[in-house]
Amino acid sequence: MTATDSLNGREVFRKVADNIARVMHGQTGSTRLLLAALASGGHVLLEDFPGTGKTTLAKALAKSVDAKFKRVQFTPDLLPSDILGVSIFNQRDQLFHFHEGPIFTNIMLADEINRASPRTQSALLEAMGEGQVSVDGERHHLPDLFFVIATQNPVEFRGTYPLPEAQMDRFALQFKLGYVQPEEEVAVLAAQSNNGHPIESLTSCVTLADVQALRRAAQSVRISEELRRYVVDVVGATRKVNGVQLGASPRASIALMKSAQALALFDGTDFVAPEQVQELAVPVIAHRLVMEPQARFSGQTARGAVEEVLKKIKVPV
Amino acid sequence: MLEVLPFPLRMKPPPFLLGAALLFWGWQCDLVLLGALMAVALEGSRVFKSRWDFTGEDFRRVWMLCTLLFLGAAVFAFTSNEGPSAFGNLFQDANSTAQRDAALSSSRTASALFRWLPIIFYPFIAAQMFSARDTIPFTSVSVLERRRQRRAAKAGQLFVSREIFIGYPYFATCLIGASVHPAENKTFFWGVAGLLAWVLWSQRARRFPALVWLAALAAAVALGFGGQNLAGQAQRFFENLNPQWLARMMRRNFDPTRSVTAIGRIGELKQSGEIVVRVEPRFGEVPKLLREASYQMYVKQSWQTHSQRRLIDRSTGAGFPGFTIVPEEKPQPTHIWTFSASTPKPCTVNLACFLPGGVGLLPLPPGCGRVEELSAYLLHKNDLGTVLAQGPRLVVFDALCGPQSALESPPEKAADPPPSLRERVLTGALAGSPDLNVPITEQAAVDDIIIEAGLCDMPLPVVLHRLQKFFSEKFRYSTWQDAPKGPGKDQTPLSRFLLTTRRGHCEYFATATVLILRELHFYARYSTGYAVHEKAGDGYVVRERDGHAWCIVWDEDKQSWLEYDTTPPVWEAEENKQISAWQWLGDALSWLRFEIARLRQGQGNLQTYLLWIIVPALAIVIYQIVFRSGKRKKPGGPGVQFAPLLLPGLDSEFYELEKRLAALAFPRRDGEAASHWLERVLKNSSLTEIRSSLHTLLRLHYRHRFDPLGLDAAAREQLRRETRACLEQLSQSQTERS
Repeated sequence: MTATDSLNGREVFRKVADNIARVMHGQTGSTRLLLAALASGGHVLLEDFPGTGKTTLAKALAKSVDAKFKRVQFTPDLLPSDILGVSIFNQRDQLFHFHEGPIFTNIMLADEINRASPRTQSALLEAMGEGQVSVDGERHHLPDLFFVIATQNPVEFRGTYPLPEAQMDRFALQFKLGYVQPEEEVAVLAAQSNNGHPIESLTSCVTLADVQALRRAAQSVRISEELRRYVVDVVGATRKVNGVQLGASPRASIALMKSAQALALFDGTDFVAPEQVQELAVPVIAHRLVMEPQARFSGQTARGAVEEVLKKIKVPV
Repeated sequence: MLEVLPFPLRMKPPPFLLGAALLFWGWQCDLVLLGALMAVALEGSRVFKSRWDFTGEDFRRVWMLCTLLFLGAAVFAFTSNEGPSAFGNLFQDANSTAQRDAALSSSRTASALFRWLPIIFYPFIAAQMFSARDTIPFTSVSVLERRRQRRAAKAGQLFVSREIFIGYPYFATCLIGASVHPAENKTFFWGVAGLLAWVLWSQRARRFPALVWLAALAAAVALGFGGQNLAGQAQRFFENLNPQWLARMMRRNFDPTRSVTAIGRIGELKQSGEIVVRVEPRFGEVPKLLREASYQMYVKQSWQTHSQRRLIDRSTGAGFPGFTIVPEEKPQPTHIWTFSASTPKPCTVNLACFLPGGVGLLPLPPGCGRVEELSAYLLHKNDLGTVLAQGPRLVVFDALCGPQSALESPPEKAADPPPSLRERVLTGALAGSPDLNVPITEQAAVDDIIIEAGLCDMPLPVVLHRLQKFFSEKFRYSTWQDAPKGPGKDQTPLSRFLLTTRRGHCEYFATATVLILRELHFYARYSTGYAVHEKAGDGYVVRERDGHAWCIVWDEDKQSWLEYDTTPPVWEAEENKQISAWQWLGDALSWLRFEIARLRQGQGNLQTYLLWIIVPALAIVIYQIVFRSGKRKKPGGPGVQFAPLLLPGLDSEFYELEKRLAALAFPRRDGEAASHWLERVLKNSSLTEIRSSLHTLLRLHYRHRFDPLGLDAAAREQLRRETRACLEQLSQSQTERS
């Protein structure tokens, strides 16, 4: 890592976080996690109740970066071709031409992703895992910066399809925004009562190149062998917890390590500390766990299982 | 979404349920001690805290071991309950007896197997109980799941095996094992009801009061009790109905008093190479011939006994004309049957042969006077020396024989004085004894041969010598017969053989010899059986194609029957031309069938062979499971074990500081990161003076510990110096406070 990259990486984070804070009040932690996913090359799933600011946070990030942004509202009748694109026959030259779908962008907001059918949800698998899409047997590469922010309502709500395990595993982080404190909510009201929604006036503060620099900087943060093993210990332990039917995959270990590197960068250090791993364990691992029905009925949650693992595994000091 | 397995495959049974089920099984199957030992060992897992770190592959091996045990037990149960012979006979001849035997054998086999199930699958439940894992991957036991896993791997998809806990399946296995209880009482029902109530109680819906639950259970038990009584009565009714119905449907016929020859049949005579008799010499010489039956009357190409022919009902075994029952001299365990009063010389052979349908003629060596260890139910004998046995499908016995033995009666003598040979040859007078009878249709041809061979008015030894020489020189052995044509086409088949073709198989030679000797007024009979010539190991095997016919002639001087065979000796070589290239396979199957049948009678070596195969196989499997990949470990945290790692920064002075603060009632928890612990510690007002120093020290310590580049010399010195200062400060403030 060069000193310039490092500096640039932290600056980019600071600038974007401040820009988003102009719109999202009381969501510093969420913004930090969102940017950790952006910096580590992962994708984010925001799950919360309607009206908590999921879409606003995604739009705020999109507006803060001077990059191509597309939004797709997921509905039950949405087709994979509506996202990926479609080959259309041109009568003039007697050839099929591929028309790119909204997925060919830098930042994509997949709003209410769990309202689409599993078939359409699965259309994102290849794109999110490999940065490419295959249509009619032809591969189409996505831009270098391809970041998906998906939002979903809790699966218990009517008219939703739960995301398949493989799809959940493609999201590096999942977190909730939660309801803000009353004083923060008052501030939200105040911001919207004067000149409309503040997001309308939000302008980009960093370029695409800055985001690439942020990613390079995050990648160059050092992590010791001991902490790598700690990451694997934590992820591996989730496969043996009572009540967990499906534990976290090695992809979770990779995501946890990369996003911890990003957090270390945000924290101003050039090496990862155990605290960063612990901070990210729940957002990175919990959504990948499948709980047994019996455990679910007894009130056990995936989040609780990860927290239990964190308490049991001896943390390096 | 994963397909979820049913609850019984995933749930853990309540404590001590499996032990109780094993005790119950042991009680019901009269294996109380074994059941108690197994129960204690299984429930001992609650006390014994060490666990084996079995992987999914290890569980698969244990499952394979259980499967092998199951197959071995199935083979053992099948063979020890007369399965092979019962089913073999069912396929050969599906009469009612065979069906009943097969049904009995299969029910006994199933009963034995069910009873052993808890023992067979005990290694698997023990592995589960003493494993560090809570559950077993479904791939360890399911071939389909493993196939799905392979497909997913090929397609590059994520596959996670479902996990099972086999407690409840094993519980069900114990109940099934206990259900094959020998005792005819109600303890099984009440035991099962109690155990099931235990299970249901642990899984009951808590929203209903216990009283309601108990009432529902009592209703279910009452219904079950009534239902099983009704089912039992229905079963007894159908059991009684079934054999009667089958017996009416499946009757077959059998005739031991008649031998239809192939004389006159054109084309190739073919016989199979199936082994029908096994001969092992015990003492003395091996007999060249084994006689099954003798006949007196030659009528239209078939030989018959003199008695009136009657069909025999095999299903009842009644009605063998001319046969009398031979009393068993000594029943079990020696099973001795004596045919003649004179004690035979100790020339002994061991014979093994199958009785198709449970009834058949015994192949016996000439002069056989007694058989031993013959486990037949009934033995019949006629005056001609034919012995008919009713018994199991395979009989293995010792035949004792000698020249003085007289299994067959002397000939019925003709009127005295008999007509002279010349008179009978010239006038065709009747003989007056069935042992001298010559059909009138064959007399002309026989007389021609007598004249041609120069046998008139010769003593018996000369006749026998000349006739043997005549047949070997003038006749040829052949299993092929052309269609009759030319001048002799209107002759009888035997006359054509004697006068025209002069070639045929043993039945032609034997029949012609008998008739020639009779025409010469020597008492003679036609015998059928087998020739013994093929050596196999220490004994001999007799195949179906070794079936043979010859003549017995009465020797007035010795007052005994002589075996006299005029078939040219080349016949064995001719028959051997029919050997198939696949005969070895048939022989191997025949050997297996024979060994299994002998095993059933407690005489075979198959048990030894099986033991030699199973023991090394089990040893290899157990070695694979226990020593090669079994890793024993003490229960601990769920952490993954890695190779030892050289940890940098363990010499940090920060640990001294941590120890000092822990001693001041601020211990750090296992999963608590240092910064979180420090935040908690610094909430204490007495430490405000060193707050900033602690933050700096933690930052340096972390770099020393977790930054792969580590600290430079100056920073390392700073960590050392400031920690020392901080410790001194802590000591001072402690002193001041005290």
